[in-house]
Amino acid sequence: MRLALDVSGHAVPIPGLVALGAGVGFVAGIFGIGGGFLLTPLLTVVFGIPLPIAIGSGLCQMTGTGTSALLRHRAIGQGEIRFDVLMLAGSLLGVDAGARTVSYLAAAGFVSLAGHRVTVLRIVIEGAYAVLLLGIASLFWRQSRGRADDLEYVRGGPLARVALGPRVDLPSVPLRGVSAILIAEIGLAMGFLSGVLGIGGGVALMPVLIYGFGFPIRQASGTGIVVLIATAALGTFEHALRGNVDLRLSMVLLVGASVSAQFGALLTHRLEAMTLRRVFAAVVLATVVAVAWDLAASVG
Amino acid sequence: MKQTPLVYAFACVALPAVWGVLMYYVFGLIQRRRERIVGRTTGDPPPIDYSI
Repeated sequence: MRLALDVSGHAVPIPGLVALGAGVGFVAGIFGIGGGFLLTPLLTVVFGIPLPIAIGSGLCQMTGTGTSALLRHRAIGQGEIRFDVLMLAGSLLGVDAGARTVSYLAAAGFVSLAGHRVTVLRIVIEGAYAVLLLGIASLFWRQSRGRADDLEYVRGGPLARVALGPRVDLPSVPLRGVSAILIAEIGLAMGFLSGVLGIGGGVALMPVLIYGFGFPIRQASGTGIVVLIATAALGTFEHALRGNVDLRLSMVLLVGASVSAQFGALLTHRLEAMTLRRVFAAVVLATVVAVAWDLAASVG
Repeated sequence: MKQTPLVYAFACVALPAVWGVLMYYVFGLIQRRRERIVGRTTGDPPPIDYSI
């Protein structure tokens, strides 16, 4: 008997999916992240799952992992809830725009590159992933070369001083007089990233919070989770209505990821922080190579 | 464009969320038992930031 899921005409082996979910979950657990930005491109590169399905199913899986994260962060009181509330409306608009963009790109058909027909969606999404992952890898590599103290707190970021529209105080950080409009616009951008790439958006939000606003790392990691849940849920719903979510695929990945993430989290205490960051940069870089290889193979 | 029933779309949101809540309590329980066996508070491991 062959254990396989039929995903949009592709026979995807269930043990392979569990292994991918577990692998990403384990890496995610070690580094204290969700790993959606690794999962979605790997679903396409490793199993050949069509991009819209990988994006929609990735968001669906994230609804589960994000719910656990929200409960844990709330239980230990991390995060600045005012920031979440101000981002919420913008992020919901953004995720809707992102889901529509995926449908639009999927309907845009093919372009001819070096004599080969490649879908517009593939070029745009895989290209965006390659750029995003390169940025993440370089950020973590740079961090791994600094002193551990440098990572703890970056006071008074430039975005905290932007004088635009009504101001709001963020007592948990603490910051005073931060532009509410700027926060809403950041929510819009993060929501769009979620809808288009099937990721949490936190991968872009964390550097903005830490280096842009000067959030302490622990407060930054707890901020944005409410928005993540809302955007992941709405993004899942919208992609599901468009036929882009395979619930069985998401649940198989979710089971593997949620269990192995706990083992990864236990390992974190045994490894040195700077080594962890270098290993993480290498893992992300390997994913960039896989995505670029996949894109080049489809063109060449 | 393929249209999916509303019930399926709701299930795609509800099922993973229920699984997430379940995992939170199951792994919280496992951790508390481990702490009881060890006889000391090991403290929460750093929370996983699923937004990244």
